[in-house]
Order: sequence, then C-alpha cells, then structure tokens
Amino acid sequence: MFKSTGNNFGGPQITFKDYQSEHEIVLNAVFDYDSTNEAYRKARQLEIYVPDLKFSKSAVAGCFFAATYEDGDIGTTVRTWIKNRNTIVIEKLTTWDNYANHRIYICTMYGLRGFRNVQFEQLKPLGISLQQSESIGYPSDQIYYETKDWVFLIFSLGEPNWNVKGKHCFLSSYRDFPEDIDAVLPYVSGMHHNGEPGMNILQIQMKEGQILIPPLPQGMSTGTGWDSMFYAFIVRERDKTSNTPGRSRWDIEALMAEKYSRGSVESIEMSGYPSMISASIISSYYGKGNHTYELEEIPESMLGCEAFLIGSHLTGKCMTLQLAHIKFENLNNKKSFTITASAGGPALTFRTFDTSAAMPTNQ
Amino acid sequence: MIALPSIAFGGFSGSAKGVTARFQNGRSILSLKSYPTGYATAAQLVRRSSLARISKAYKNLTDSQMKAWENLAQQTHGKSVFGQKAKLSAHNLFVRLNSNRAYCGEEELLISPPDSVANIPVVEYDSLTLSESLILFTEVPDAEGDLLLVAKMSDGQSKGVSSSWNKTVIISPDKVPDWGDVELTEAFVAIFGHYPIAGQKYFIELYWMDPASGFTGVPTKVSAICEAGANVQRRMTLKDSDIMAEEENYFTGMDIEFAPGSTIMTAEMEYDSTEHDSQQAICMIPKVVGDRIPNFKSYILGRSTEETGYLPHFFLIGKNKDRENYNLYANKRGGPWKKKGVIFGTCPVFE
Repeated sequence: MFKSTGNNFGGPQITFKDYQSEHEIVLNAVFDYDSTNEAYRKARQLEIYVPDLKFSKSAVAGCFFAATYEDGDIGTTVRTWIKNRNTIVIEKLTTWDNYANHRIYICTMYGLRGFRNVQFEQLKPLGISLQQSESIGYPSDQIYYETKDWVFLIFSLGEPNWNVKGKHCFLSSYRDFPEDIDAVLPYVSGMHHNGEPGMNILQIQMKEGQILIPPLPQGMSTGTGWDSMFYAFIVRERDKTSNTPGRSRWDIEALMAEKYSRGSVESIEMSGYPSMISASIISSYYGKGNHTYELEEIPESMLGCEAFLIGSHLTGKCMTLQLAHIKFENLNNKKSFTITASAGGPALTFRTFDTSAAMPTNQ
Repeated sequence: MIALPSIAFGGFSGSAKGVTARFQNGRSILSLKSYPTGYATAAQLVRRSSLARISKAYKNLTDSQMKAWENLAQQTHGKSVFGQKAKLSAHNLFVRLNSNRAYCGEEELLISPPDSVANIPVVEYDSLTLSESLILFTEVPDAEGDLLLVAKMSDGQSKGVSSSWNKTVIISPDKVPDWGDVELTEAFVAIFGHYPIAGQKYFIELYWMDPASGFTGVPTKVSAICEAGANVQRRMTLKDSDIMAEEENYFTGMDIEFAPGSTIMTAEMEYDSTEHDSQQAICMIPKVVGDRIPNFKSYILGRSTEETGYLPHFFLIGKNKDRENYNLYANKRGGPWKKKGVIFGTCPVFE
C-alpha cells in the first residue's frame, strides 16, 4: 500500500493498494475530484505523482471513470498508463465536465512491452458459478483467476431485472472468493439515462468473499442488450506473517536475475533459537552459478544468516543432487539474498524443498 | 555587374552569377557561392530555409536579449556543446539552437535564451542489426524528459572507407524509442530511395535533442557493414501490417504485443464493423504471422466512440484457425453494441 504525493488536477491524496513485480503491477484505488477546479481545467491529462514504482513506464491499460449524476453515477472506461516511476496518468475525457464530482476507479493491471524471445504461457481460469441473492441478470462470461497476490474477475449479468430495483444484492461463488480482499470497485449496471453519454456505474464492494451490489438506480432505464459487466484486477491483502508463532516467513512470487531468467522463492521460514531454516526455492537461471538479488521485503530476523540446502538439478537426463548455499545480508542498507550452486550442477537451475540449520554471519 | 576573372581590380566588390568579389586587407578576393552538396533531407531543407529568417531575427533582439545570449555563449566555452568543443558566439548559438528547434517543428523562435547549457545524455544501445531489410538498434534506454532522437546516416560506401562522417544526413529528426527499439529502415529508404546493400559500409550517428531548448548531445557514432540476411528475433506483436488487406477487416491502428511473465497482452486499436452483422470486430492474419502466436483468449476493456456516447465494454479477444490462415476477433461484452469504438488495455492471456 502507498499514498500519492501529489497530482495535477486538484485531487486528494490517493491511497493505492498494490502488487508490484518485474512483469506486472496491479493497483487498486478509488478517488473523487472536483471538475470545476482550475487545476483540473488546465490539465491535459490527469497525472498522479507517487513514490517509486517498479516500472519506469507501462503499456496502456484501462480503468473506470464516473461522474455523479442526479439519478446515479454515469461514466465509461478510460486509458491509464505509467508515464515514469513516479507518475501514473489517466486519460481526461471532458464529456462529463458539466457535472462537478468525478470519480476514478483504478482496478488495473499494468504491463510492459519490448521483449523478445517470449515464451507463451496461458493461464487456466478457475471455474466459478455466481450465486445471486436477488436475480439481477443472467450470468455469463464468468472468468476468474487467482494468485497469492491478486485476483482477476470478470462477468456479465445480462439485462438488469426491474424487479430488483431498490434491493441490495449479494453475489458469491461456489468457489469461495478470497477473504483477504476488501475493495471498492465499479460495476457497469447495464442501465442508462436517455440522452446522457455513458452508462450507470455503481460503486460495489468485494469483502469477506462476497460482492455487495447496492440497489439499481431508480431513475434510469434498461434496453435490450444493455448487459451489465464487471471487470477488475483486485489486490489481495495477504497476511505475510507465518502461521506458526515464533517463525518469520518470507515469500515472494519471482526474482528476476536477468530479463528472462527467474528464480522463484515459494517460501522461506526461519525459527527462533536454535535457528532452523525451511526453504522452497525453484531457480531457472542458466547463466551463472551464483547470483545476488537486492530486495526490500526480507524479514529483518533473517538478515545475517546463511544455510546449505539439498535439492535436485533441473537439467540432464537423470536426477542430479544439488547443494545450494543461501545467504541473507544487509550491507550498506542494501538487503540482499545470495544463492550459490555449491555442488551438483554448475548453474542455478535447481529446485529445493529442504530444512537446514541457519548459521549467523557478520552482517 | 559582371565580375572579371582577375584580381587586378583593387577595391572591386559585388556579386553576380554565383561569384562574389570583395576587397579585404588590401587584397581582392573572388569566391564562388557555396551550395549544399549531397542529399538534403526534409528536416535539413526546413533548417536551411529557416537559417536566414533566424539569423535576421537575431539582429532584431533588444540589447538585453543579446546580452543574455552572450552570457549563455560564455557558458559554452570549453564545453562540448552540439557534440564538439567549440567557442560559439552569441549569434551562432542563437542560430544553432533555433535551427535545431526548427528541425522538430518548433516554429516559434527562442528569443530569450535557456537559463543554462543543457546537459544532454549520450545515446546508448545494446545491438545494431544492419541488413538489406532492417536497420535496428535495440535496448536504447529512454532519455529523461522529452528528448527526441536524431539519426544521421550515410548511403553505402565501399568496405575499405574508414570515414564518411561528412556524408551523413539526417534521416530521422524526431524519433522516440519504441520500448528500446530504434528502427531506421523506413527513414533510410525514404531518404535514399533504396534498402541498404549487402557488403557496403554505412556510417550512423545518433544523438538526443531537447526540442524545447535546441541543445543536442554528443553523437554516438557507429559504422557497420550491411550483412546479408542479418536479423533479430522479432517481438511478439500484431500490427496493421500483419492484417491481410484483401480479406475482411474491421480494425485500424492495431497495436498488440505479448510480454513474458504469465504472458500478458497489451492492446490498443480501433474498430469499425459497420459492414459486419455480429457484435464483434474481426480480421484475417496470414498463416506465417499467426503461427508465431499460439491460440489464446484475453479480455481487454474498450468503449464506443464519442458520437455514440462512450459506452463501456470489455472484449473477448482471441485467435482462431480459419481455412489456411487465422482470424483475430474481438467479441463485445457488456453494454449495447455500437459498431465503432476503441479497445485498449492490459490483461493476461488464458487457455
């Protein structure tokens, strides 16, 4: 989570929930601003200034815009992208400038371009079947994918049912949605107001594994084929502390050694005294026999220790025993994790699931 | 006046038919008017046509403005400005900065000088591929700020030539790296009228220019021999040029790219499916292009045009085998269908 440091449109300080890795950044934020203020009027595009992001720029992505209208919010999708490490840009549409209150929903994945030698990896969606407390529309296009750090959910609910006007509706899934999500998100309800551009955008909440949809707006209409839709990348607020009292835990999705070479630390846990370390590591770095990753998220308690782990090499026609050396250091305020292929295969291409003694070092 | 081909006429001065005579330090000097040699690119023609106007404008500056330019010119002494260490007069500096600005379309003259000499970085790159069909620098880092990349290049020279830097001309005055790629093929062909020729040597200069101030950086110079068949692994992209023009197509400005991780698709394109009955836009891509990319599904946001009320959608985008080739489709989800709109966004690809 981080807070914005400023913006060019007279908006408030914005709190972002974030997941940032080498290849994708997922951000969640909701904020309002006043379209009558001078800064907004002068801005060519909306710029939000933020602390250092992992990307120095991103490809174009999408988010949602809504203006407060007398019968409910109306809006559309707008472009967004990371301009530089400290600036997130949102496309400015002036169509709704006659309404003072504007709202932006960022529930967005930002990605990169410019890679060669891309290995195509398709994700397999997880099956869901939405259950509705009130039948507000026939579900279709239900796509759900879940990682430890974020989820992606889209669905369409068909033309809104008039019978549920004025009623709250809960959506749930037979596959439980994660309970570590508490997010305010946009839902394009499929309703509109004659003569006004855009469609109704309801503010909904995903919390405790359910989606709460507030009553559909009374003063708006539906039309044949005006399906509703939901589309969001949602950051999980995963508890990164160990389930076992007395242990410290470090788990991180992927470590990039070079542009295409990754190591992946599933999890490393360390007990108190006597210090034992339990590690699940997969490394596919063919280039070298050792590598130091500079990181921010290593638990303080792990710094200044090293361990030897037994694993198996990933290459070759038969199983090769691999001895790996790991070391956590804090040198000149730079926290690092060094991994070395000590015996077995010469490169950092191995997997290990091992428990070993953690030895203190000077740093 | 006709100038006679003799230096016997002391005090004789004037110009006629490209010959200028002047009397200086007790000597009569005849000189021929110089004309630009070699190729002149559009950018250079713009600059040449602007030179007289810019030079004349300096004379119209106020005393305080001239003083300010003199102060800035003082700062340039001993520094490498415009890629070379040189002592510049205030007038020279005024002309150089403003003519550089004219290159990139900045018509308004810089009357007040920049506060100080700008520190422009050097262009870095990882590799150059020079073949009969491709001139490509890769991994060129973006410069801080809004700098533009200027590319100069010579036509092909004999292999043994060690220096032809004086034959380089600007082929592209305002390039911005495309995620690290600087491709000069089209710009080269547009200027020289042909593709590079295998076995010939080419001289290339790249430098950054600040269009606001006109300052330029030290050029990165590289010479290379065109290598037959040289190529680089291409990025996994789908562009307008990949669409089969003779087949059904409702997309324009297609700009799709896939990036690693769990493969992530980024897309930006417009559609106009006025002639199409279904709530989708579609195009055909040839087998050779489609074979590069496995079949996939992804979900990307979009909206209808301003004229139809910016109605929000998301699109199921995918690729299917279609007879000998493939089709690429964008099926609309959510909201009423309008036949024109834009698709933009980032999403992983799914089975």
